[in-house]
Amino acid sequence: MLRALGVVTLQTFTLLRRDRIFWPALAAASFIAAAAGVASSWGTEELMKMLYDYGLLGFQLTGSTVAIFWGVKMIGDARQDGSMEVQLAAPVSRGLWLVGKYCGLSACLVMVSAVFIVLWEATLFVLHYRLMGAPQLLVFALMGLGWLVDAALAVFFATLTRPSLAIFATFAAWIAGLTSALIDQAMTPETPPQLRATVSTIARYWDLQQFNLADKALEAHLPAFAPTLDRGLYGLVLIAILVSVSSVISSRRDVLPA
Amino acid sequence: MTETPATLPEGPLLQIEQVRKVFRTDVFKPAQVALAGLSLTLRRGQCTALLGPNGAGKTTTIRLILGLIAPDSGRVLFTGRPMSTASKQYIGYMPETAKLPASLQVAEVLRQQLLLFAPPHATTAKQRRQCVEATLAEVGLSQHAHKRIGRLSKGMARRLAWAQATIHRPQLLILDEPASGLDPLARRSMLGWIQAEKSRGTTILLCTHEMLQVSTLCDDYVVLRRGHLVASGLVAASTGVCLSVSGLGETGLSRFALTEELPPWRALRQDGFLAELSFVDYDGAAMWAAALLRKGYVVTRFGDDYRAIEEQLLSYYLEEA
Repeated sequence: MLRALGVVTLQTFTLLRRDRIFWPALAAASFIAAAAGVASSWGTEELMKMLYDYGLLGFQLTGSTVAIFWGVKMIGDARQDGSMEVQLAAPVSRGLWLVGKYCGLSACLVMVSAVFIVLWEATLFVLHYRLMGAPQLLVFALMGLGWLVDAALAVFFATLTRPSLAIFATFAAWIAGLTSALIDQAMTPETPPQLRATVSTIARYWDLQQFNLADKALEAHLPAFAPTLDRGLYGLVLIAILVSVSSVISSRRDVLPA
Repeated sequence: MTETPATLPEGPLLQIEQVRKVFRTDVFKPAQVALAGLSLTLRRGQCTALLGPNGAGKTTTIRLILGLIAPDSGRVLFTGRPMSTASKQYIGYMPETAKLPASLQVAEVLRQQLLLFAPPHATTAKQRRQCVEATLAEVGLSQHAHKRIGRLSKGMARRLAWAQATIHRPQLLILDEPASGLDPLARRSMLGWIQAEKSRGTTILLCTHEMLQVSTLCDDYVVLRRGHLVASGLVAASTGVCLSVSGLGETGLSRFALTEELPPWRALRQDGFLAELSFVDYDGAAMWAAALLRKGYVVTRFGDDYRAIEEQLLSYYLEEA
């Protein structure tokens, strides 16, 4: 079983690495790092903060967008070009195949984030800023975990429906996750109680801002251990739920259209 | 590729029992019955032709066997047990079109196929490498081992599809239009490979529209139409040998048979001056050909006759059209 999982993961990783989006994604990462550097040098104060604000926003948006596109595309492509048919004709169960695809996608996203972090360090070095320490790396790591959650979300919708609908649904759920906590906090006592309860429930279980520690990027010390661990576990649980449900759905329904 | 595959229990290799499959693609459209209680048995070591017009349910049957879709009722058995993921280890599948990721390299696909199937002849990295090299040489793709699949010609892609379907030495080979889109030379190679695989004892399910492949490769055939099995039988019983002769009508041929003491023909078709006689076996046809040539008649054709199946199929195609 592990061998089959490894083969599907490796194949997906290879396919995504050779995908046309890969190089633009790396180019975008380089551009964000460079542009953040330029923007910070224009500012008059808190140059580091400006650099990190700009860079982390770009990191989050680029990574999530790429994760969503890849997540939907890899399932849609496999279905459309028929490669799924050939792969599932091998002794690989449908559920395992999907988990393998997700693992391959995660490996590719981790590689992209690693390249970005290297570029970021290079930018800091060129601009003679202090290089990243553990707190900054933790901020990037949590944001990277956010990418993996987005990828799991994309895989979930791609399993359920066709690519165009899956992209739309994933972006909608992603934006909902980014804004749920903000909307929850913005509600006033005049807001109808039922609406408040609904929004609070959504914000409690689906809050993608948990992975955004941009406001702590300039702190010299590591953030408190327990809340950070909670955030990490929250991400892992979301991934586990989304991938497991996708895997079960994929096992139970016909994977190829009539 | 001459080693004996792993031993499996005796009995039929594959049985499809009363399988029914209905597709509901749209809530506003009526459900489409793809298979209506299909039953089918593949005998070990035999090549079975799966025939029928487009939309008859051939692809659905293949996808059911491979577990890509689940039947609404009925079951698929492999060596007497319900088909499982592990059973697929003994199956090779060559789809109709190139269904391999375009950005992978030729050798990569074969290597991954070996890793997935883990056949006994390729357990180590060295064995896998040697197996890939040997297979590529066999199908004439050694020069293209590092080429991406998207850059292969159609003929090369078909050869690669054959290689990936057979590299793990399957016991059941499912071929969906294996020679479609191939030039005559490549087609001949493909038929030779299938014949060799059959000689090795591999059970083959051949989905095709080409009667030449049926008559030269298959032992039995099944015909599907609108999800029903409408005909089946042994190819040998439904085909024979035919010869065409010009200048003799039915009366002349009957007289000729009497005077020369020739065996009766199975069927006679008359097309203008040309008469086509069909015989059950080669001997009868050979006696007729020799007698006709001795008397100075021109025998314009002598070869396989698979019109019985073909005409039956054509009638289905016409009805579908």
